[in-house]
Amino acid sequence: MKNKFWILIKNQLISQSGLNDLVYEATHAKRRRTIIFLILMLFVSLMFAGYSYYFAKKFCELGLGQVVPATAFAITSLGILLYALFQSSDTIFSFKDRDQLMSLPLKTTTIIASKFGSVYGQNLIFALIIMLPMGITFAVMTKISWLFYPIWLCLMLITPIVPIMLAAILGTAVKMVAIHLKYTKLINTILSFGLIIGVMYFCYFNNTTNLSQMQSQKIISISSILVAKINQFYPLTVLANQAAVKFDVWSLLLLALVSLAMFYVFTKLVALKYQTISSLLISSSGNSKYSISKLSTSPPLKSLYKKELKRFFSSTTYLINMSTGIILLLVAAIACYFSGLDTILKTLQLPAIPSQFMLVLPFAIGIILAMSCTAAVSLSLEGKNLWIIQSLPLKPTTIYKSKMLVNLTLLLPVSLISSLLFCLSLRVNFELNFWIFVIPLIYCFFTPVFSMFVNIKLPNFNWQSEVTVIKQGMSSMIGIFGGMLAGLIPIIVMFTFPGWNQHLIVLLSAITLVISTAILYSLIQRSPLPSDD
Amino acid sequence: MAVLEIKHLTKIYKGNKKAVDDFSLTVESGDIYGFIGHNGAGKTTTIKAIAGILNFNEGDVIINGHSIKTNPLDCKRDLAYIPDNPDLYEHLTGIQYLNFIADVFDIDTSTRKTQIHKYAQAFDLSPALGNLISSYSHGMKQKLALISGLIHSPRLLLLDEPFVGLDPEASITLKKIMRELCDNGSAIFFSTHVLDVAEKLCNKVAIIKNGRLLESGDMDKLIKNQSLESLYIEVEDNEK
Repeated sequence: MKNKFWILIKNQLISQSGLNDLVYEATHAKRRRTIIFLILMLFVSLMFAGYSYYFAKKFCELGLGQVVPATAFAITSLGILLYALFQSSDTIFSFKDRDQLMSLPLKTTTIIASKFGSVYGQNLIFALIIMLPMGITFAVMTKISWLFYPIWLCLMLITPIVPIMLAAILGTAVKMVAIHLKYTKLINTILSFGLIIGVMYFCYFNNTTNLSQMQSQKIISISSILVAKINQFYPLTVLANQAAVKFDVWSLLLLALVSLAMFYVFTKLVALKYQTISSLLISSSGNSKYSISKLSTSPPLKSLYKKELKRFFSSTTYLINMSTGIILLLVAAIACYFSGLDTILKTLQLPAIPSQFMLVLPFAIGIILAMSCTAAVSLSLEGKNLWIIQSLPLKPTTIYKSKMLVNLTLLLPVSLISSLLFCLSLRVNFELNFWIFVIPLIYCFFTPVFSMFVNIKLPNFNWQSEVTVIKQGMSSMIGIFGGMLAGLIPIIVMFTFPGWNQHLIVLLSAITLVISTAILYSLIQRSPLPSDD
Repeated sequence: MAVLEIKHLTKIYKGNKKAVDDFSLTVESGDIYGFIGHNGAGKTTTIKAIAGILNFNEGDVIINGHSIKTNPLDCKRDLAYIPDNPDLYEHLTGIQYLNFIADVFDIDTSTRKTQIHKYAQAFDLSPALGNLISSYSHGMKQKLALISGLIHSPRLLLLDEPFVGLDPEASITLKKIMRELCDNGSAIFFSTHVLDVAEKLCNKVAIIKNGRLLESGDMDKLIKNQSLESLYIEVEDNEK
């Protein structure tokens, strides 16, 4: 008899990868979409891999090669922890096929393990993208023994386990706290934001401690201090580093043992209370005492807009992922107003922006705004509800407008407030003040229009979990990275050609963005509503 | 007067599979038209094409004189479509959902209040309207979807397996409402697997197999002295 764990894993892999759609329903459009998605994923992966390679190379060139394995392990673990913070608890406890799986003759531990396996699989790809180029660069540049390679391979496979466990425990704890309070969703969202900021603060706090101590002590052996500090941030790094640099097989075995033991204990403990936790997380209640009173009327666009806004605020995953950009921007603007830009850059240990490059600031704001592109996923999020807007007497353009308006509602106030705070704190000339307001404003319109266009062209209505659309969807990726690229290009041009007239570059970029927005908007107005056919 | 005219409707899915093949049918004002056929016969595809949810390859669908191809908005203002397993906006409360639908159909406050009150009472859903749809059972969602389809008094009601998931009381209520709507000049076209219900409720019936219309017309004339079940078996056997 086949192992049931593998049967479940295979089933999940087929449904999540969209493999069946490609094989059995392969239309040209679907194939094209899949190919575009694969190319995009490859591009993003290469970007990350390239950055990892560059990072490792620079460290080796500076004679800090010994730090690379520990850093790779710590960065990957942190990345996975942040990414999986809510994804893992959602996937493990409140998946849509829960009832079906729970009714089958399967052990609860098998179901939990299979769900964990699914999260592990996705995060393993991330681990490979970061750790593989860093490991190879380290090995080649430091001419380390071949023994490094099999040990590094094992490390790559082990790395995601612990952060996923921690993410699942923290994410579930937040939900369990929120579920007992009156405003469950609101509390859940606030706690979730708190958790993300807490994790980031923890890492940042440790990071600043490293460097300041290094400077004060003027230690010659920087690499050993760095490793020690990374170990302090994430104690398991000690084992990973021992295994990778000193080929200590016992450390590797101990690390594997700790990871697997955590997985085993977690699975067994969760299995004990799985039904209770899972039922609590997916249940909702009502008072059943409603009586119809006054009903307000709204025009269709306003009604759709209200519905969209409620959709946004009703989902913690949607809210957190799509508002991270605007919250970061707001925090940065407030910090800048109270402490000044130079102090913030100094605190973050980033170089000060030379005065001739201050014009990059409006585009940097634009890049951060582009991260909050709700319109890139809002159409896909209609999912199984698509039949409602399809069968109602609504023009597709009214539906698109409502989704773009929600995106604009999120961006516009944050953009205006941030621009004002930056202008007040920087005390720069009129022209720069003007661009600090205008460029982000253009992005406020460009981002919803661009991302709406992307979602119309690349919708995905057949999803089981909204995480698939929001965090892993093709439209979401293109919406975010495409929007960010639109802000990055002028910055790259400015830095690459410092002799060119910077104001002219800004002006031309602004005109290009406005024209692009207008063209995309007119294309959206002519677009029919996509179907899941 | 024809409320719905389906003219040579053909829908081809990927791989050249004809889900609906040269399908023609007319539904008159006052008709309760039952649509029967085995699983995968093409019932849902036909209903979705009529509702403007699915594009089709050939033919046309005319609703109250408007083509769904060229004038979908006018068609949709006159119809209501309820799928067999309605997925509704779970983040809204029942009343918010009904209000949303009423806004889209531009129904004034007093009419919407009267209509919502009338149908929510009929389906015994009033007390739960303030709750999130995510807390509803399958049957409650079905009832809410039905109410949302009735509040604008559609000229054409398209129902896909409407009795699945409804409790006996709600089924009786729905049948009453269907008759009442048709008495007021609307028309209903609905698919069902329950032949007894179709025989008792419908004045007309259509049988579909492999996307082709095998029989259609007045119930009495088609079944004559036999039952709908016998007719269905006979028609199916003839096609084998």
